[in-house]
Amino acid sequence: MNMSRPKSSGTFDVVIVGGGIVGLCIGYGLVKCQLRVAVLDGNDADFSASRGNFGMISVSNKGFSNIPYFRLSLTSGRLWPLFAEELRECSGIDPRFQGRGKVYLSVGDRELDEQRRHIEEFSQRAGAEYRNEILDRDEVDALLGHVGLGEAVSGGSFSPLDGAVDPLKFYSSLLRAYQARGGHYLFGHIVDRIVRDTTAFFVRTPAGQFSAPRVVIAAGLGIPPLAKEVGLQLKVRPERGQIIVTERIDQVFKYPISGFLRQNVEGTVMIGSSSEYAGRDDRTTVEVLKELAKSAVERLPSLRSVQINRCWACLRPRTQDGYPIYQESSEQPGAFVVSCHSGITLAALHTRLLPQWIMEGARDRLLEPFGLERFRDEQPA
Amino acid sequence: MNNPHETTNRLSSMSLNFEGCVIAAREGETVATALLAAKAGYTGTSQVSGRRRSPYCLTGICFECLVEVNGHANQRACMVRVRKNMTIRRQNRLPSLHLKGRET
Repeated sequence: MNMSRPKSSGTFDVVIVGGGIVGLCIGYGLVKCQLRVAVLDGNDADFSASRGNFGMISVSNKGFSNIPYFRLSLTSGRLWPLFAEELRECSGIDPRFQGRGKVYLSVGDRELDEQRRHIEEFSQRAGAEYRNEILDRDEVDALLGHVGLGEAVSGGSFSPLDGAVDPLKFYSSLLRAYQARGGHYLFGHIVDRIVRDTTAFFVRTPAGQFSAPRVVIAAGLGIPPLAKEVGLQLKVRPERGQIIVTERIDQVFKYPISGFLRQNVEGTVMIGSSSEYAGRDDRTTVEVLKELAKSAVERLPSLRSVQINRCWACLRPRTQDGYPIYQESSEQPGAFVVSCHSGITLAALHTRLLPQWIMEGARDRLLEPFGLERFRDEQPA
Repeated sequence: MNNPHETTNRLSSMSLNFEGCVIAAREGETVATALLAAKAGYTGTSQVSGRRRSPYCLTGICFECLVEVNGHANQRACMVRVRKNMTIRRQNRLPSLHLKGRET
């Protein structure tokens, strides 16, 4: 602990524990309603999914087995264009949103058949709002500007529901916009206690104490012990993702591919993101990075000549069933927990719907299926 | 280009071609230090900011010194050791994937 740091403290309308994308979206939505908000963030060494994010706005692959989750993602996808524009204006940083859609590439005839059946089934479950069109090899090739498909690519599909942002630009524009609207952001404030008296919560950190009638816990992997402080029991597991970033090259393909290959506006190609359980180990491994590079080159062989500049790994918080959690404590009303896996996709929706829930107590119909009640009958994992 | 270390460099019998000019270099040094010593000016133009750039960190981290080495773009001058008959060009554009594909 840095003893020379001046102690900060204060009284706010809402204190948010966690300065990642989820916490800042809520904070940004709240300051837009003229509320006094403090976001308490940890240190650089903390596990931060937001700092390792892949920048994908994914709708077409969300909620096949949980249609309310599809609707949640779809609604957020629709809110994204305006949200991105607003952030750009407010922060002066362009998050580089593009909502053109996503291309899926299938390797081999079997994968293409599976994709066709998957889309048919998804459309039946989700209705006309689900859009994802099967394409043959030539059509995919044309869509990707004849970049040169691997021999085994049999075709694929295109969904206009998806998009992408530049991961780092988005995070910095969100933080800047939150601060520009008067939000307080406090780095290096690790919360160790949340206590309550009759009127307010007191959020304690070694660097100072913050009080507010409402507290939101959006601390990713740090949630469980803090949630316990306000009477909520939940589990969040670390899911490791690894990402490769290449040198900058001229624009090659304008659509993200299959959720694992994309090019940023400034030219870098990102290849990711894997998914594995490795406890709290957030290091990269050669085996996983090799697999990522191999599947990228299998689909677009010309990537073989591109230099890799950086690789990193990060831990995503994963709830027991992988779906988001929006829960107010019944034991300590005014205390809220928010956890999700897809902070980027859901960012626009979180900014719009969560402030209302936090201030007025009524969960929007879209959020209703995502309380902790759903785990009540489950065996502990 | 005035090189204050000309005497030393003459001993090394190495030279680089930078944008058509011959630049003296010492064996074992990097392209970046040779260019700095030769006061060669900027080494490229950033595709993000549009500004002229030159070597900065000299440790391979900052990617400010990207140049084209013998036709290969995106090379960090500070990470490339000088060799005989090297042709260095300022990098003023992003390399295209198709061109890269044809390189050996």
